[in-house]
Amino acid sequence: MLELESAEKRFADVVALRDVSLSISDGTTFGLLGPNGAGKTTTMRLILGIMTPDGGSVRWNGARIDERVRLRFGYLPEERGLYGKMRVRDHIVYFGRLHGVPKSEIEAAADEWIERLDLGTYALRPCAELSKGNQQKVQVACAAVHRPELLVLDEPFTGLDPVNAQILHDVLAAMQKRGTTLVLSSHEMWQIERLCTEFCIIARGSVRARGTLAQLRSGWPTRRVRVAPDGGAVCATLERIEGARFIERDGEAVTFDLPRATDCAELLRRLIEVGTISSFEQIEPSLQDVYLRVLRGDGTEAA
Amino acid sequence: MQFGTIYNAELLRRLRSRAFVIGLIFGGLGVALVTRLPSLIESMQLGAIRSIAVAGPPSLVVPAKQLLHENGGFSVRIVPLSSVAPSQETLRRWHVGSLLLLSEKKQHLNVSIYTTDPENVTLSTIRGPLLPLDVSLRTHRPPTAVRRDLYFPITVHSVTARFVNAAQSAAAHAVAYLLLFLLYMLIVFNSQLVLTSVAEEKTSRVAEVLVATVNLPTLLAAKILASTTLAALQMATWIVIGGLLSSSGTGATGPALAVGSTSFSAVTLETLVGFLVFFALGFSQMSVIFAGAGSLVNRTEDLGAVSGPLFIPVIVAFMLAIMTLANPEAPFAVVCSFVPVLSPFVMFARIAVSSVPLGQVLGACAIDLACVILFAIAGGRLYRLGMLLYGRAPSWPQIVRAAFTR
Repeated sequence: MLELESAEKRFADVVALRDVSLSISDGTTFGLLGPNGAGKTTTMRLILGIMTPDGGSVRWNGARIDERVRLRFGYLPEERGLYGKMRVRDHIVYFGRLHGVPKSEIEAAADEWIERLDLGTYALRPCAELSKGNQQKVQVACAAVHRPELLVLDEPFTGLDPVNAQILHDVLAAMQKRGTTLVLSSHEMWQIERLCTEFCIIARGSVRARGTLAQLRSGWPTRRVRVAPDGGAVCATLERIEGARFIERDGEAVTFDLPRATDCAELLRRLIEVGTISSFEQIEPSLQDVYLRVLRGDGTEAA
Repeated sequence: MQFGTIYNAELLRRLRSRAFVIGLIFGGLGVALVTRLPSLIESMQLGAIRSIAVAGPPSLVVPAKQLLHENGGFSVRIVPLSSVAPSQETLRRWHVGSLLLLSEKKQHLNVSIYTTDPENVTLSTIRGPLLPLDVSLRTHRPPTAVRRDLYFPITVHSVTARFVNAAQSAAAHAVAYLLLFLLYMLIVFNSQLVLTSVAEEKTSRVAEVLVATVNLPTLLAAKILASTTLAALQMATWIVIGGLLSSSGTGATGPALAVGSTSFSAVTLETLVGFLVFFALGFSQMSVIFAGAGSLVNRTEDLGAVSGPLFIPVIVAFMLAIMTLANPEAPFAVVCSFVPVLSPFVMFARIAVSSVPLGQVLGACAIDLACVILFAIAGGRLYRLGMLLYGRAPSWPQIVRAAFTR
């Protein structure tokens, strides 16, 4: 289990992180969200022991993050970097060796990752000759080849085309299944929503919200419904509900935000009474909706 | 295991680098040049200056040619007698620096010298070798017999503790000169490699993954040891080149011969140990400073701006060391041999050409070692600051604060 307890980090007069407390259980895929400059990368650097906190503590299974612990971690930083003249396979082997894996084992693992990430054609080519997307895949392999217990990925999907993004998604999903704890940050909300089981939204160095998606949604003040067709009686029924707000008309359907206390089953019964209903859909707010609302400061507080 | 992995990768990466290969070739050429340059210069100078033409009656020029060659070390050619005084152009056409016109006047040898180098071709340098010929004219005895009668042995004894004779002293100076040049080249070239390597990792953003995996002292130590190994490899290559060149003499004489053919054979154990110890100390001092500086670079284009000022103390140290060779016990030399950064060069120069008290040598080593530790701490802190600082260069107050605070 990874635990951050009241972690703080300052750079001169700037407070980068303030009283950040997180608890990430083994095997969790954890999404770290926040705008640029929110403190996500600093949080990751504290987790990885690249930086030490000025206050509070960071622990992995109860132990401080030292050199031995770090050997069990993998890291894909936001800014990608490879030794341009080193060959792809050598690169993967090198980083595996740095994590203490014997040469014979790491070579087999490197070949496996090369195949998994469809890098076979480039295995013996210098990294500098690869496209940006392929370089990124090499870095993913470098971060994961030693089978880390904790893999930290800072913006892993940035710069990948849809095919490679899917490959990476599948790789991370496989690691998730195997029980690897994943900590990701990304601005690709739909990707992170698909992968992660828990989330934390950071802004200006502080945790603004955290929990599962269901927990984050639970703080949402309204229920959104989409009804079709949008007959006059249907719309009138919806508009009569106190606090109801028209959102949009899309083809034959109409979307409304209703107060959270609205009983949707009762509403559907009333709508059927006034007209013919072909579709009634209760729309859950997406992660992006929750994120934007939290950042606007008009919603969820830390769970 | 991490140390070994980084060390191996670093070594291989640099061995294959263009900079290393170019450095090895140009360094070798530099050593070759330094090994041969004094010989070449002297032989070129001697070719002109120590070549003499003689003109006059055959009874005089033939024995004079032999005496000037054997007693004066001149290369002598006989030219036809002319009534016109020779010009500089005439001497150049004959490939000589001077012309001696010989004649007999009242049973004495009469010599007129026309020379392009009056400082070296003087009355004494000519009178000595030709003295037997003059005595021969007065006594009517063959010049060879006169020469035999005039010979008396002279032995030069050095009163300095280190060298028993002037030849050994000249050879030691030649060795010191060569090794100082090697020391300078090795420190400058390999410190530059450390700087470039660190800057490359920083600018290519590999650094962040490295520091997430490896602790900084291990990373820095592995890099520096790999550089030291490369430096040793270069040193061995250059010494072999120098040794091969010096073993194939040029026929030069005097100091040139000392540099050209006896220098490498004249390396004493004392000099060799001094060279290795002060190379290790000097290189360690500079490489940690360069590693710290390299971590502050955000673009490889900025490398020159960073490395330029750092090389100034090395150049000053090298120049002071060259001055020290002329006077190893001068107060400035003694003081500088205890000043960090200058010390590896100046103290080594003193060791190579004089007898430095052991206490002084150990004192300088202790100061240098303490500085290596201090520089490593400060350089390591800079490295830690710089490796994760992107976007803008750190300010001087930041650098100073990073170097001097935990």
